[in-house]
Amino acid sequence: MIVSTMKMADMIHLNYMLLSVINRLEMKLGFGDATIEDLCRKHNVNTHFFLEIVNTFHDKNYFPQKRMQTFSVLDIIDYLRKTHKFYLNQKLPIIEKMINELIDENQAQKKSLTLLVSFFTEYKQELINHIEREEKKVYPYILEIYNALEAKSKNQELFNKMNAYSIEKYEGEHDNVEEKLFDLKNIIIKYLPPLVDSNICNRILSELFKLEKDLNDHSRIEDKVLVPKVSQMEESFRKLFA
Amino acid sequence: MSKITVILFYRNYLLCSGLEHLLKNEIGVSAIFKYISFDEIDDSLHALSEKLIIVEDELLDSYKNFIAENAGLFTNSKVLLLVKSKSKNAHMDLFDGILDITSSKTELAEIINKQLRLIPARKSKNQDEKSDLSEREKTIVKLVALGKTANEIADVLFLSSHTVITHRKNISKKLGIKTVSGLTVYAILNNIVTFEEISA
Repeated sequence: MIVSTMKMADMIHLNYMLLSVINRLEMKLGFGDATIEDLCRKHNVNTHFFLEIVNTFHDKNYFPQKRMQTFSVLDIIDYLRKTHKFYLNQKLPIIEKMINELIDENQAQKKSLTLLVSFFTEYKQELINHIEREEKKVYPYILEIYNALEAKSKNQELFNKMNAYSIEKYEGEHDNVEEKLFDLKNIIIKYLPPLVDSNICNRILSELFKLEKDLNDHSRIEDKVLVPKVSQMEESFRKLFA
Repeated sequence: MSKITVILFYRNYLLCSGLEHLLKNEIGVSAIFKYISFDEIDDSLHALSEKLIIVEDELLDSYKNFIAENAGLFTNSKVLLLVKSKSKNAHMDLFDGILDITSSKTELAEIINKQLRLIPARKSKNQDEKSDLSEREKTIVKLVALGKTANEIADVLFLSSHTVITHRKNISKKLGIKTVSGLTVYAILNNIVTFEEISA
């Protein structure tokens, strides 16, 4: 388990996948011997929030909840939005570029590879839709609850909305983004015809595996940190009407 | 390497971790599932056959209740009791063997290996690993690629839609491809269907 007195550098050595988390929180490298606590203070990041995020990310059996009250849902949403940006602006373009490179260098198999491109495009669009649904529907709903709670406002309309569609339902709606990624990997690993240059294929696969892991860790943060937190907020909001 | 799945029921985290380490590194078991109570497995009771099950003595009473209610569940499974002292051997009739935590690594590994050898390997295993599609499955892949729903496929092939869904599941398992568009790509790459047929 990662604790506040641990050195940030040691945490990265423990699990380098956490580099992407650090990056999203805009903590720059060159940590020296600073502890997690030191750096969180320096970067104005809530330490409890940081620990819940990195532990949930790092250990799939980790169950956060104890510190849930000590940070705001705004921190979580801000983090999740940055993660989305990372997928859209960095991960997807990198993979897309490599797939195009693959076609350029394997003209003989162009027909098969075009299939791969259209499958990837479909996957990409589904991931974008998934992200947009969260950004345009789920997060605004959470912010509404947050604002109503802050203002102690008995917003009847919001109350009805919540009764019709609570956060548990939002997050229960899984689409087949994960399945598509799974298929994409297997198509490359098992079914593409042998290529002139399989180095690019290996690089694409390695990116896909990393993306998959990051997406899994990301959805774990939604399920284990965001959803319970919002459920608590919904409960408090309900109490305003009691 | 043993392909048998081991299921641990435990209370004591440290004991369980030690046992898990032993199973993984000394015996080569890769599939290990851990539960802290018998209530947790309500949904997957059928999964308890042909397994090695190890129960910590702290859970002895709830184990007794559990098997009283679910007699015959452990078909072809072996059950070991993990005890902290030898005096607790009174319930030998309920178990296939006893693991005493004071035993040496070799002794523990011997007892576990002996039970693992007694568990029959799953018969369906070979079939699962063969990835060639049957002719019927190829026909279904083709229809899926052409955009037909399970009901439509059922009509064309005179099958129940339930059977079609079962075929779909088996196909996905064999190929490692779950989505319709993934199956379409597979079908084209393997000449089960042509580009032209799909765009038609």
